[in-house]
Amino acid sequence: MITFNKVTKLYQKEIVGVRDVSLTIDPGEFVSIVGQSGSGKTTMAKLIIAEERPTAGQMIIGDWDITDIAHRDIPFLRRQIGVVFQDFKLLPRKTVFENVAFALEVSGTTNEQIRIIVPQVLKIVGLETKADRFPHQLSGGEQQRVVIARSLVHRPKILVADEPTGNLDSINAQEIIDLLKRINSFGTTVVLVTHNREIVNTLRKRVITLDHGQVIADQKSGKYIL
Amino acid sequence: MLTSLVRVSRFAVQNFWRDIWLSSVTIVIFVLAITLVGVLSGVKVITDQAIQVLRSKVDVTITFKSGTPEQTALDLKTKLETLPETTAVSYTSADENLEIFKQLHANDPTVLESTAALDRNPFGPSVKVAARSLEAYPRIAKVFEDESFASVIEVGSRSLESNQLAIQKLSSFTRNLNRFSLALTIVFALIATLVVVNTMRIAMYAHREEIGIMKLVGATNWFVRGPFLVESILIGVLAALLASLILLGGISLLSGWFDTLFQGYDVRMATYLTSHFFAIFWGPLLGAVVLSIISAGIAVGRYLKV
Repeated sequence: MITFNKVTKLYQKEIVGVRDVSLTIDPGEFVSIVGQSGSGKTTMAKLIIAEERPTAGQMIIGDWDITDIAHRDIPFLRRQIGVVFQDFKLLPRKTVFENVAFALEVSGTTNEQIRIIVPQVLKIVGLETKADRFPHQLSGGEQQRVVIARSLVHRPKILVADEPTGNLDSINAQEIIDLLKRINSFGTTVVLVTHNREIVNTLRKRVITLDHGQVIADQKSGKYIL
Repeated sequence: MLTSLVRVSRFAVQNFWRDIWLSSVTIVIFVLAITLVGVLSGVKVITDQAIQVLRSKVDVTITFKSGTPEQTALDLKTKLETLPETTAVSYTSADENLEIFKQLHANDPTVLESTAALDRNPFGPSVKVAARSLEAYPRIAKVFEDESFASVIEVGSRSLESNQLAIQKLSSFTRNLNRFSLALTIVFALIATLVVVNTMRIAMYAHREEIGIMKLVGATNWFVRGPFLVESILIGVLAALLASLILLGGISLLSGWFDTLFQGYDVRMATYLTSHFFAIFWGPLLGAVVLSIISAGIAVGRYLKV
């Protein structure tokens, strides 16, 4: 599903994002990528959605070699991968419904389909009653659930969550993790980037540990070891 | 494609309305820039008209010596009429010149008595000539400086010295005035361009995160750019309409002043400016819309590399 083959990412030719990373994530897996700040976790998430390009090595998503993906193809890749960000990244001038619908509108989905799909997804994340609210009228946890709803509308095979609980209290954080587990149970591959020890330890799923841009541990059912 | 176009337009109107404060500020700045350049364009038209009126009023009268046969003056008139540089040539007989003199000094009995005491008409006939341009007078002067006329024309009149000096001064003044008003218009058009471009850049800067988010959820560059371009058209058109209303209002308010300025001349400046409104002000009006689109397109492009 996701293959990093000796991937290195350097910023300004000297600063290491990740170095010589080789790993494979299979379909349906729930993988946590952990590490301290600056260890390269977010760089890995950015490489998966082609927000960054590898300096060396090969990146494959499904059957698609995205190492040198053309700019015009990036939107099509992103429509197949759901992404959840720590800082939510919701469109401030759009309502909850419009934010979720936007991900469908960019791919040319008809209005009829949008009217069916969006309420269904909002129901999954428990926000069906807040469809007309703007992001600033929601709590942090609710905003993150809107982001998850937006990332799900395309029924992606991969969901990348970059520190999704970073801005949330422990109760909201646990709700988001439960939601991610539920999405994983439907068969979606989930890549969770986090430095939250408690969450990683309770998940009992695969854990990839990074340090200074390199993989120092890859445990099938691991714990936060740093 | 049609669905996308409809969506792009809907997003544009939605964004415009939901961020009405930023939209309003942008429009106000655009209106000020357009109005400023518009006023200068208008001033240039008014200056041009005034210069044209002034130039059309310049003419030269060639006065013949007393006792010169009428036929000589009429010969000069015929000769001047054949020149392509002249627009009007008129003849006044010696008797008519005496009559005009008497009318001019009707309230001065001493002058009238002196004239009556003379046993012959002290005036000769005269020919008045108007040229197409001020620069043509030296060429026209060559005709009556010819020997056949030179001896019967009053010296001051024939030499044209004083007239030529006045004509040269007027010609130089109008040329400089034209250059000045053109330079002023260009300078302010450049300032207005910078203002419009930077205003749009700031507006797009305010939305840079939004642009990045659109890209991250899979929007193509066109789909991200579209609403911003449509919004910029909306802003440009609304600003142009508001500036038009302000300029038309200004023309209407100043119509009385225009009438005073061109009193005695056949010029209806307010009517002229209103009826030729788009011919005169198309530059700043269309310029604002075009600049708005181009600068928005470039500014959005800077944030599309996500």
